[in-house]
Amino acid sequence: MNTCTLDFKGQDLRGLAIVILLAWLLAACAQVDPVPIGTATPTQMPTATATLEPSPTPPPTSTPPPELRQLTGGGCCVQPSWSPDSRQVLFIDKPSESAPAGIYAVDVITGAIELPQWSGRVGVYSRDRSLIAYPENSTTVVERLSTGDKWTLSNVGPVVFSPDSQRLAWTDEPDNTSPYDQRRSDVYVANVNGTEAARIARVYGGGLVGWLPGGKIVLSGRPSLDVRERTLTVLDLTTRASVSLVTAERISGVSASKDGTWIAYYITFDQSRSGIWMQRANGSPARKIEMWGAYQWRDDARLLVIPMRPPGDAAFEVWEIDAASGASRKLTDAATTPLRILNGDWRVSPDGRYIVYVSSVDRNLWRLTLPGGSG
Amino acid sequence: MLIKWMVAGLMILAWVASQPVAVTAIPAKPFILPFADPPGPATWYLGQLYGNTTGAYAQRDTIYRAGQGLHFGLDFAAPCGTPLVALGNGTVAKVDAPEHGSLPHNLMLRLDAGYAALYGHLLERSKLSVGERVTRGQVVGLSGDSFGTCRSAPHLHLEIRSADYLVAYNPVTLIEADWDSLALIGSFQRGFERDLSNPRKWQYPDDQPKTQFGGALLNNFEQPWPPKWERRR
Repeated sequence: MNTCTLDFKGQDLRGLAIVILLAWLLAACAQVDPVPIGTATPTQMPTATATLEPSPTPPPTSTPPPELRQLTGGGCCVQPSWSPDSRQVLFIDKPSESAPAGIYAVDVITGAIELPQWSGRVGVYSRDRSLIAYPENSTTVVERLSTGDKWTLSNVGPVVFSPDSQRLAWTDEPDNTSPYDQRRSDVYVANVNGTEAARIARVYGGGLVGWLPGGKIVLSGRPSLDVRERTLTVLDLTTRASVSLVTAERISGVSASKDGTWIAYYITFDQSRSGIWMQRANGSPARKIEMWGAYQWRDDARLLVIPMRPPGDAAFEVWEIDAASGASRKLTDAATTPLRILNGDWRVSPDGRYIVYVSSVDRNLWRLTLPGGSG
Repeated sequence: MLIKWMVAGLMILAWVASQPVAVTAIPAKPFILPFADPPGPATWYLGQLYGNTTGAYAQRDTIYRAGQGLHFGLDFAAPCGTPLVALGNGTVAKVDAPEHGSLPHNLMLRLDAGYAALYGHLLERSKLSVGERVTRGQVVGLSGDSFGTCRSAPHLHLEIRSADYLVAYNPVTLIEADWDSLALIGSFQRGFERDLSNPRKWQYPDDQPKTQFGGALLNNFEQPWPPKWERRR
């Protein structure tokens, strides 16, 4: 709320103009600020505990408090991502009729917005931004941006670059009319120039999930139509060794930590198994998280969870789970950090210091500085 | 003294004028969610939103063609057999009406608030009869699977239409729910198709066009993103 005070002690009568001014001031005082502008800092932050209950322990003095900062204006934009150095938030936009469409970047410190030289074209970029892939005439064109070299692949689905930008993978689904759980998916891997393309797996009701560092990929699906449940599998492309992580009828939301050590996923509609799980990619026993919500990896060892909120709660909270121990701690408090996220649209920065999200209040991009960041 | 009272009176009037106006007519969101149980990993969660979704765009020439290329309802993932409740008071208008799609079984309610609600992909034929009154929150059917297997895509497809069934509206704007919270789950691939000539258009859950069944495609974008990787024939 605005802070307004009115002084009635004076005896001076200033006529109708004063009356109208006072009335206007009071009406303004009664309005609620529509948008949190600038920064908002909570006054208290609990630290790590081994349970889901928040700890009353004050934070270490070196830990920055959660801070909110508006990055964009005018109701812009959605589906943000991060530059590899965590200094910029990237988003697709065309800020005016005469401006080009492209992947724009806002500096998370200064707020300056630019259209980087590499980003004038929208496409699938490799992690190091050296390559772009896009569809063209029922093929995929891969282009090296520095030289303009192009290669054409005859694949039929979105490609996923490997973390080292040397290879790519895709799923081919020849029949997309049969029931989802029965559709055959062939997973292919090739060099970025299209050479050495080979089918490395066939599953039903699933496909490629993504890459892990070190030449490994993650697959999900039924090994055959005779098997009811899907299996989440890590496949080493060099040794051809595979590790089965979990088997369930409905596995979704598979997400790997940056170094590929940990995998998190949902199991749904499976009675007591239903929930969020995390597990080492080497197949060690899985751990269930006693929260239900959205999650993303903060770094190689910590998972961030934003639980669904009880009815009537105004803001979301961010929790952090230590993957090895399962210990959890609340990083933000709904009472002091007005974190309002629209359409589940949030992303953790590569260095784990920030979350960028689309505000459901003003539909702009906001930055949340997380306590306990590595940077 | 008189002026002082005038000031106070005007201030009170200004304060009253600044307060939200009490709505005594039909609330802006007159309906409730179609489930009696709260959302969760074992019960139900929001699947696909209404409107210009990436999923609908990819199938704009096939199953969503009649709905102008839009996803003209909401999808809620739910195990087969989940009880579904009436969004509001109304009357059963149709039971298993194949002309409205969403097979293998569907149910159309005519709601007193002036809309119709289609419950699609039901597990079995609703036990209600045409003309029967239903009350808000009453169980009206059981959720099923669009492929009829209960393993492929078990979900409820829910539409809110005009009383003449010709227009579909965004249920997010008509159902009272915590949509921000519901949208947290399954958000990894959630999003709306962009037209790069105007990438800010139709990008929010509550900012989607209404569907005129049989109308022209609304999302036949020249510069779509993400693009559709077409299969070579």
